[in-house]
Amino acid sequence: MNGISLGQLRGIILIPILLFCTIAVLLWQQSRQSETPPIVQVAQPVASFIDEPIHPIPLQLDLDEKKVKLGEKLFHDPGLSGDNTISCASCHNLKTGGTDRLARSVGIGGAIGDFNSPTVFNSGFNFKQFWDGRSETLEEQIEGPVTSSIEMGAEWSDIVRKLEKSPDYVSMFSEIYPRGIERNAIKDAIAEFMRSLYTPNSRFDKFLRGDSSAITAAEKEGYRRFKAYGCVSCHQGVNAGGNMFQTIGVMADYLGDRGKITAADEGRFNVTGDERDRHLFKVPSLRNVALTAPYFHDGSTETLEAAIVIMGNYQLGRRLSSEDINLMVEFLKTLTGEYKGKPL
Amino acid sequence: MKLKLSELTNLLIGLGGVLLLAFLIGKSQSIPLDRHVQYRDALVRIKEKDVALNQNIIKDRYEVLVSHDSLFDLLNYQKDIQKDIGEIASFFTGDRRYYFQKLVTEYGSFLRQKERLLEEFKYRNATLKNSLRYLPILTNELASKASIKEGDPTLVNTLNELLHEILLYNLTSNEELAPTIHAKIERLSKSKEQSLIVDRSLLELAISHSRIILQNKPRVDTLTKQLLQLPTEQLRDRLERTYNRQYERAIKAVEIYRFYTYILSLTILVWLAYLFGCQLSKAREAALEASRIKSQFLANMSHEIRTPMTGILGMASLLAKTDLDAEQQEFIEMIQVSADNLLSMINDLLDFSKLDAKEMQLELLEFDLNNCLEYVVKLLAVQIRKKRLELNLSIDRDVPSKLQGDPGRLRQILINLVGNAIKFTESGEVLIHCSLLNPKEDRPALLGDRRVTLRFAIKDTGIGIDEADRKKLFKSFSQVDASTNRKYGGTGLGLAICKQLVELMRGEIGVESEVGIGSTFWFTATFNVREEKLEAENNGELQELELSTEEGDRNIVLANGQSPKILVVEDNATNRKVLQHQLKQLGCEGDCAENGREALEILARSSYNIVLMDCQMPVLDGYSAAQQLRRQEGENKHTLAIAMTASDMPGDREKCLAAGMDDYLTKPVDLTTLANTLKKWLNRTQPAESAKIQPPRENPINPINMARLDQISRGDKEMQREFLQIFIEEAEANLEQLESALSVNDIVKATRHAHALKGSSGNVGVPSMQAVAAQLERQARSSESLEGAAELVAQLKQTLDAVKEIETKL
Repeated sequence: MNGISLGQLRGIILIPILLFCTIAVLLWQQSRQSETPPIVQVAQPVASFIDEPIHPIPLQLDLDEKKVKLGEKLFHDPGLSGDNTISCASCHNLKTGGTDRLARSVGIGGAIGDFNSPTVFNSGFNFKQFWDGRSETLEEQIEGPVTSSIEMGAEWSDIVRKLEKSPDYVSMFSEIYPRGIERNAIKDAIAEFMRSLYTPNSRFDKFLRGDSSAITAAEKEGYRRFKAYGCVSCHQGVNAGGNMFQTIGVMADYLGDRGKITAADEGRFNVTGDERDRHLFKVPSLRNVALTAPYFHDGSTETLEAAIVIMGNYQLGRRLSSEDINLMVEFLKTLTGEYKGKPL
Repeated sequence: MKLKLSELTNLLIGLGGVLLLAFLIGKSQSIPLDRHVQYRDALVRIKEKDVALNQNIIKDRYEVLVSHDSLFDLLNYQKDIQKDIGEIASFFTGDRRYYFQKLVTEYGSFLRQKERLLEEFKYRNATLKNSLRYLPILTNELASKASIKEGDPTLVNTLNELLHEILLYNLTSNEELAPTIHAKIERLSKSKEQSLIVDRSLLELAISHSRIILQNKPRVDTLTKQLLQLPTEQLRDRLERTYNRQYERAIKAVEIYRFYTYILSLTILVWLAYLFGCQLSKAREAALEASRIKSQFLANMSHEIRTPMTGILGMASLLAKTDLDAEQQEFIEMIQVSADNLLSMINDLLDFSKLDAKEMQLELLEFDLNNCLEYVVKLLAVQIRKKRLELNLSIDRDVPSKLQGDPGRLRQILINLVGNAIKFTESGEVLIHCSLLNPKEDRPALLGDRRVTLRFAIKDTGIGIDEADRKKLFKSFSQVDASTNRKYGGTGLGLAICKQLVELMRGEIGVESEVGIGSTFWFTATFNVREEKLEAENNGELQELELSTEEGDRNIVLANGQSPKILVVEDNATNRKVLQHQLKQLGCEGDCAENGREALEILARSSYNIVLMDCQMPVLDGYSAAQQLRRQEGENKHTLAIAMTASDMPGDREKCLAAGMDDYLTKPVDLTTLANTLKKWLNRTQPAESAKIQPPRENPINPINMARLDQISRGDKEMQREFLQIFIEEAEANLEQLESALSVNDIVKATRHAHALKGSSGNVGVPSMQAVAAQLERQARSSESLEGAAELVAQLKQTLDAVKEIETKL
């Protein structure tokens, strides 16, 4: 019989094995080469050429539309409070400059808050949240008012339960978040919505972008004095503030002069416990400042003029003429921007 | 389904191998490249950001930086990256992971420190900058106001000096100025009560601002220093170094794993190939075994068929010898011819099966090549004549004739090939040519035993074979095509058997052919050379070979003239009868026994010259019977025992001899072999007196050996008649010539014609004529006196007349 003998078989098998070996070794060598670490190049630091201490707000931010929409719904939903009476928008009314225009906000069951509600507009540009900067991010910040017993007084489990009853929410959440309605998803959506609350295209921004006719000569003079008198030392950056802390009353004892010192007046000390942080507050943004009276953490000052005087006296140690004040008010008014293409 | 242990083991090994391979592949994939790139990138970016942050801090300190946004942006970037790095790559393990984690955490704490310092730096620096910017303006205002009013040069001077020193102080790190400035501020503070200055509050403001500067400047400086001295860069470098080291280590480990992976996959591949090979060879062995069993079965079957065939043939030949009328005679002859054909086919089949089962063994006998070839020619001469073809044999001069090998098988090959050649040739000639394969090499073969390879070529002028058919020619069971089968008959095994036999003879077989012109079948075979004697007759010329006598007297007698007594031990009744009749024909007395026991009993009672012993028998088989016989007889007596075996498988002979037999015969036992064997042994027992061959006992009625005639004519009556006619014609002519030669004493001529007569009569089967012609030839050749030649011629004539008579009767 003429079958294939085992010897022949070995011969037949040997050839593909040798081929396989060769290819394997080649591939191996190649794979070794591709693993050599990429050459690291330390990029040259780019020199920045920003002439003005205040920067224009970006005209367009890259945000998730769906989250923004969901966040907007949640922002206006009183279901997020313990007794279904208060929504975020209750104290941060978008129609009144993102604030309630009260010295102290009214929370659940008529409770009065410790601080003046800051505006939600442009809060995404702030380096920290709250007057004392106790939150690093917007998401973290949301935790505060929602669960605070004097603000919305809610519990997350309740909120989630309430939201789950609404098919609208269920479908909206499940579309974005694979795990559906849950605490972090809610915060994420609201935070995204808050980031969408930016007000670009103010007249001053137009001026910053090169349109010198966007503001009047008086307003320009106001801006010049704003810089010259040192206001800009703290109120600078995109938000004209909101990027540092400062002691209230550098030159004089603001709180002592005002009286009725509360725990809230301790400022950042409440967060860090560090003596150096006593009476330290986040410098508030001056964006849309004309719309966000009353002013300061205690909401003690009704008008811009009064606020400027206080700042001059307690922070700068300058006496400002009424002309200075008027011009600076003029300037500050140019900081009012647009939301969704419409002026606030 | 039940798994065999080996299969289970293989399965487990395979499973283990695959698991190990999966593990190794997993290990060798343990460095995610994109993560590595991210890491590299992060470590570079965090450095960039840190450098930029430090630059901005210095800028801020010297009022170059106008916005603080970049400060916290850069810091936040770093925090993000630090968090990213904190997700440690999977290839960090154990201590290293912990160490790296520690470094990352440390970096994080430095970042937090930096942030804290930065916050303070920002507001203190803002305050400091504000005061520093306003103090000169304030001083100027005070000075101008002071000069306008009555003036206080001391105050203005002090103020100017203070401003000067403060500005200087701001630009240096020299803290020794601080006490001086402090003293000046105190002085101003004291003197403000006495001074005549209009606007006292303005002076107070200047003092406040100076105090603020004095208070904040060293703090800002310290903060700047602390900020820039935070070892973030060194820590980052350590992170990078640690990471790189670990990465290199991981790469090395991965490479080792990868190497193992390659090795293992190779091993698995080789193992699989091995298993596959094993499976293949197992399947092949199984197939071979099946084929061998089939062959064995076929051999057994063929063999089993041969036993009854023997009966048929034997009884038929016995029947033919009885008084029959012509028609019955004809039938009997037909039976004989058919049975002969059947037997030859069965023999073919048996040969083939044995070859296939690799149980065929060649004998190693001394033989004469010339005789062997002559035999073939003789055997086929009739067919040649019938077809009126020419058959020529040529043997090269240098071909040695005394060889050692298997002449029977050589004859078989030759008969087959020449038979085919004749079968497929309608006119022309068939030429057998024998030569040395390598004449030059084989020529100096003068030294005793050595090998020689011969080449036999059988050339015909037949129908030829086309190329496609040539390829399958030597394969089993194939004939050139089905139509040939119908036309020419045959088992289709002939060439396959030839091929295998040739291969056993360490030779090759092949064919060259051209359709319509003829074919040349050739083969080579290797033999041992006994003695190197080139026969003068074989000088390369074509020889017309004579047909020699084969049939002699068959009667066997002992030296004392008595018929030998023979005991047949055979269980098969037919075989027993056949043997008995055969013995009777040979003039022997035969008794029977049905088995070994019976035989031993008979042998104990009376003595026999020879015992013919079947090997397979019930009660007591041949081997045991022979052994017992030898024991029974002891040293004094030795009854010759000849075994009859049904199989002629190798080893049978040894087995018989070992059992104490003297010789063995293969069944079916044919008359000639039986006669030869008996003669051989009976002569040997009486070596002094050689067996005397009695003069031929002529059958006065029928001088023709019908069996022979049947054999050559294959039972064809027509052909027999033709043969006889040719023979008679030839014989008459030869006799005439012989007579005339004798009359003129032409010895040469007489020899030639006597020879011719001898040949032709032997060939056709007229033994009495053959013997007489042979005697005549001998006398003539040896130049003896031609005395009595005339009588011999007369005898020849008489016989020829008898032949003629029979011919007419046929």
